[in-house]
Amino acid sequence: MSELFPAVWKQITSSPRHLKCYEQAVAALDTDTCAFLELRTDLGVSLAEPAVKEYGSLSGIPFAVKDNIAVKGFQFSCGSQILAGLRSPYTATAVERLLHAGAVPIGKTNLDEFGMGSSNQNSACKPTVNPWDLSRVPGGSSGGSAAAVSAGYVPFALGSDTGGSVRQPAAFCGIFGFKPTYGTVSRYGLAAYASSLETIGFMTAQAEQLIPIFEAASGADGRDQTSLDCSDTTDLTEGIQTVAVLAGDLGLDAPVLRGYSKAIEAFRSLGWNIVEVKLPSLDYAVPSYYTIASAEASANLARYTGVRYGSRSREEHDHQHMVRRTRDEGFGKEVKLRILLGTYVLREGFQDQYYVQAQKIRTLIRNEFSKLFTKAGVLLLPTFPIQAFPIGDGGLTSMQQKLADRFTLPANLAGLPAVSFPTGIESGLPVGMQLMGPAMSDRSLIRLTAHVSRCFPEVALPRRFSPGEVTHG
Amino acid sequence: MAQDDIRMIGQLAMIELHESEQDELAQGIKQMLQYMQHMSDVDLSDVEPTTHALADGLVLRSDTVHYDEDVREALLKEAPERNGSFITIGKVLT
Repeated sequence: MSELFPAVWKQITSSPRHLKCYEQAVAALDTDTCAFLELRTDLGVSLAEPAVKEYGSLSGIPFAVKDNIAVKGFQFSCGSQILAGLRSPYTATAVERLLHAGAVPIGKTNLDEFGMGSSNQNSACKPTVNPWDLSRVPGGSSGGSAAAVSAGYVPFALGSDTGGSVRQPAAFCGIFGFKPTYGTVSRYGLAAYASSLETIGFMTAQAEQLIPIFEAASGADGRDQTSLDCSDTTDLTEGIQTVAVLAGDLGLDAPVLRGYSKAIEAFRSLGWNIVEVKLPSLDYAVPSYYTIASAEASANLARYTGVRYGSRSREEHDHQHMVRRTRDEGFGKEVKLRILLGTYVLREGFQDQYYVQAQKIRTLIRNEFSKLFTKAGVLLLPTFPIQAFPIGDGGLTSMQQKLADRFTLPANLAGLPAVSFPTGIESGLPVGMQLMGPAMSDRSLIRLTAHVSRCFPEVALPRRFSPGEVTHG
Repeated sequence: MAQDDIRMIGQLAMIELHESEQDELAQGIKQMLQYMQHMSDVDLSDVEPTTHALADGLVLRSDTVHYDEDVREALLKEAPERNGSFITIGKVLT
């Protein structure tokens, strides 16, 4: 399968001299894109397993890891001041499995603090920008990983997707972003934000490349009790080929609407039936999602106290005061907002009104999807209603960003696999569409995405780095 | 949302909020809560809540101890303040 990736990558990672040139070149190019928070090819190579590096399915392929996923020896900041200086003492299962397939982690990428945001502007470290237009956001929260793949620094990257954080930046940066079925990739080593919603996901420049990566990284893991094997052999292209689309006006910006129409046309040209569906519960997906995500965040982020790791406030009268000051100084505004909101909805007397209501809406959404997938193989929908927006005040407010997550977060509420794929360039920027399939249809969904993507002209990524420069230089 | 409310949630969440931030956070929370109120438009009396997207019963593992001495020092090394093999903190009882 390694022919899916140019052989030159392996030449680079197997030569200390090339590796050094590679790191220097990427570090120089990344001074304005700011995709990486830490770039350390030496550390990555020291973790790589020599035997499989030669023969594994991803032998010698370098990759980037979102900085909320643990890689031993690398920093583990989650984009937050509260974890400044922390070095991970262990490696996440997904990364360990990729190492076992021969891949080489070379650095940690930027993110919205703890994965909370859609623009990378909530990172406490520095803002990553979009390689297509440096005045625009790369999307988020896995914006650093998306920018790194789009700019050609690495052939693939890991992100995490709690409500669209792999798919939306992939759409903004013109690449493929895959959120697997909940549980098929172990969450061990992923810093928990909203445990019942999130998965580790993958970003590549070509759809086919997702297959060996998912094969290597997925599967049940004793260290994550929600993990499971993706054993299903669903073939979405078999039998009646029907793709569902949402009925009514989806409120899309004109360039995104053009991409959406082209995607529908592509399915039609492949001989698929198009069926319009109504999913009434989706109107309540955003409030349900933010209730559940905030509630889980308030519990998960309670562990950051300045006691065992990370930064500790110097302003301390006693232990309790130290913890309160550390959390005030260490967390950014958006993280505080979600922790406080989660604390509010979980308060005694308020749980039925918010949290339980949100969980019931989650049931309705799951039921509507189950029904939908008896009528259609997949659901086609936009990834995000607009393209990459400008950095700063000309962009979207925090509330507008949350409302715009409406097409991505249903897959997290229902635990379903979904892929964002580029449909081309509209008004100078990439547009991404999304395919969502039934649980465990992951492999088939990737193959179908690859098939449909052939209907579109290949997107010429704004590659700043080409690996050939290193080996010929 | 009143100032007292935001301070009280801050206490529950173990965050000592700066005066300067309280108004903005209170405003943000109020906005989200108003939006979440839409959920009460749906009649959900007969619907069971979902706690896990693909729940499949309880997963158990064998009760065996795994011991990794290497991790002990690596973990202690990350503590902001330590004394030998202890992590130190300020006074608990004052």
